[in-house]
Amino acid sequence: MKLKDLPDDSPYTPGDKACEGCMASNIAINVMRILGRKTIVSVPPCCMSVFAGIFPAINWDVPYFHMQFANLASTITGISRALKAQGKDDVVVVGFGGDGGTADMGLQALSGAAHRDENILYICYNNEAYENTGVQASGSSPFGSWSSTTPVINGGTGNEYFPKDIPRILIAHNSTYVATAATSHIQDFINKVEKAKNLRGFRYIEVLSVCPPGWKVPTDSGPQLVEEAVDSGYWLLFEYEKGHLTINEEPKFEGLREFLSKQGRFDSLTEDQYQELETFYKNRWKIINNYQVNNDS
Amino acid sequence: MIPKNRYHDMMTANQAVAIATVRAKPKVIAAYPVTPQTTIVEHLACYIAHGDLKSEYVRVESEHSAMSVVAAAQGTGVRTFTATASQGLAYMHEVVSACGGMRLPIIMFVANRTLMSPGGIWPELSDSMPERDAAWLQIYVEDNQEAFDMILQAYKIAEDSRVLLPIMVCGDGYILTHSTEKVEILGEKEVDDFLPPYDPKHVYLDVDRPIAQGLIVPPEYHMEAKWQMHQAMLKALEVIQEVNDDFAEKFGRNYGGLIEKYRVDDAEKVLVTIGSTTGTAREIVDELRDKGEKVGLVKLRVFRPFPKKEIKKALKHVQSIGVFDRSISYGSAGQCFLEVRNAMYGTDMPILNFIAGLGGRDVRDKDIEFMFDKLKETEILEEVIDPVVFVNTRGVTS
Ligand SMILES: Cc1ncc(C[n+]2csc(CCOP(=O)(O)OP(=O)(O)O)c2C)c(N)n1
Ligand SMILES: [Mg+2]
Repeated sequence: MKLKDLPDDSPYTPGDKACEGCMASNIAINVMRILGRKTIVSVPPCCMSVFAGIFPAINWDVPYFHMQFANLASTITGISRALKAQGKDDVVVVGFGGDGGTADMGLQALSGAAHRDENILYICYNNEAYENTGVQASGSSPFGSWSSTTPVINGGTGNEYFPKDIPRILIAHNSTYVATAATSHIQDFINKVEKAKNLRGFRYIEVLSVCPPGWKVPTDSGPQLVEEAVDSGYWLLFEYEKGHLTINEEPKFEGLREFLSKQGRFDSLTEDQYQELETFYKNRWKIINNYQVNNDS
Repeated sequence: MIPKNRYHDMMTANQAVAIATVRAKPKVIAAYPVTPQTTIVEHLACYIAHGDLKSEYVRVESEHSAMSVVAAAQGTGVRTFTATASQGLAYMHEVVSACGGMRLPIIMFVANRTLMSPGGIWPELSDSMPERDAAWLQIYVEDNQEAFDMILQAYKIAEDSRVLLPIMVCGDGYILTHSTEKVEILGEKEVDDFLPPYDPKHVYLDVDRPIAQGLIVPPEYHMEAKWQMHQAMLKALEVIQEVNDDFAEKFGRNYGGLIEKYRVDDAEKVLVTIGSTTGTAREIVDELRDKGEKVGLVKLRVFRPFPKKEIKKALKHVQSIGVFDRSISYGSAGQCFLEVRNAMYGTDMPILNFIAGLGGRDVRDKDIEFMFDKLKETEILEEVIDPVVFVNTRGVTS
């Protein structure tokens, strides 16, 4: 599907209560434009469950199931198995989860579902912190970033850990489909969601999602920041399918320092921390690139 | 292969529960091992492999996921089953609590086992009792036949439009789950007639009719949903009785519905029991009756909703009541005792609480005799200083 063919109509309806500039809301609208109405959605506690799922004004014009923080993957597994038992094989079962729910307490259920190759589509919108509860560092927050539980007061240096690499964990499960996406590369985004829609088995797409209050950035800066994240090698675009990894966009490794410096959450970053970050993202690229290099060996 | 017709066989409660599940034909089953429940999901795996049952059998990675899978599957409009015990039930608690409000008629068997610590794999109700406030019905069975029968009845009760709440059928670990008794297995056809295939009429996920389940509900709408859950629980009292009577008429086994009364009508001292200990207590009642003592027994079958009216009606004429609990709310008393005393509000008879069998300690004949002896010693309410008596406990009562 080409961008110009994308239907205007989205089963994720306008008028949600997301913060100004929230990219998660944008991701939901566009994913749902591609998935269409033969879709069942589940969302665990996270920003999206709040800004689009409070009774009586919800934004899902498809069946919607809200469950708990640690069980998005097993919840959509239950929906998918029930549909299978009913002989309904043309319905897409999709879960939208935040990075915290995905990388931390939801990881067990996610691993189980990937292991069993459940017929589900899991979209992780990664805003790199527990934003809903007021910006606390999660297992996928970047090193050196400020959050309300990694303060930079009195010698504190922000988040002391590097983020978990969920796509790589899922590749290690030999998952049917694992991809990363970015709204700046919208055709790539559409291709991946459309491919995942049509595949059967366990499918995972992780999308970078700018959170203006959490990242301490202006509300209109999201799209530009995502593009810079890709260019700088901070966010890699790749997809893994049937044991084959493809890099969709070679990072230029330009502008990492500028990208970070635009975000208030990195205000306290020291030069040493910056060097560590740069090394981390270069290494990460090497690791992912090695998958591609070794595809056929 | 399980015979299609009615038959008798020797089996454990776990096997009886598994076969009842086959008869009930759930479309999604979540399986995770935990002693003493494990053989239920083992049996089910084999029955599915043999072709006795066609069902999505999901070997989840935890009980949290087990309950999530059955909840979401039930919410998608199919009949479901899972089983657990002890730590497994505690582990799934978060999801267990979500099912009532979503009005999901899930059936789960709980093989009652102590919850640590101290640790142990032996019977105690400290796993299911904390779930009494989770908006699930709770039915406690005495023997393997009742375990079989109540799984079937539970589906019918839970799926009734007046109820639409999940049900835990609970049975003592080992004493039932691993002990072999004769069980009558009802035939497939007659069970189908009693319990037709599940036909969801209410809230379920369907792309042709989008609805939402499990939403966040703000204070201005919240109370009404919870009031409805409470009303459904109260309605369940009559539905349980109806289903009991229907079952009794069709299959000839009448459990009395909410409670079972045994030699109570002219009794002066009555013991209220729950679970497998009822069998032992019934024998002792007979022995004491033979000696001319006016004793009787009430078996609590349904703990949620609690049959307050039935208890009061059954016991208002007696002189004193002892309540057996295989669990305790520390710093207070046994949960059955608290309910029974609440039901007897307004009367002034002594009510004692016998805590026994914790962590699987045997509840022996002489322990039941001890309970009746204690009741004899306590004639008036004023004599009750502390109603909670630990039975057969070193340094306390032995
Ligand atoms: C078991 C449990 N623990 C904690 C919470 C509180 N909680 C709700 S949302 C949330 C953070 C979600 O973070 P993430 O998954 O990254 O999504 P985001 O809010 O960033 O969109 C937390 C910690 C919860 N709902 N359940
Ligand atoms: Mg987040």
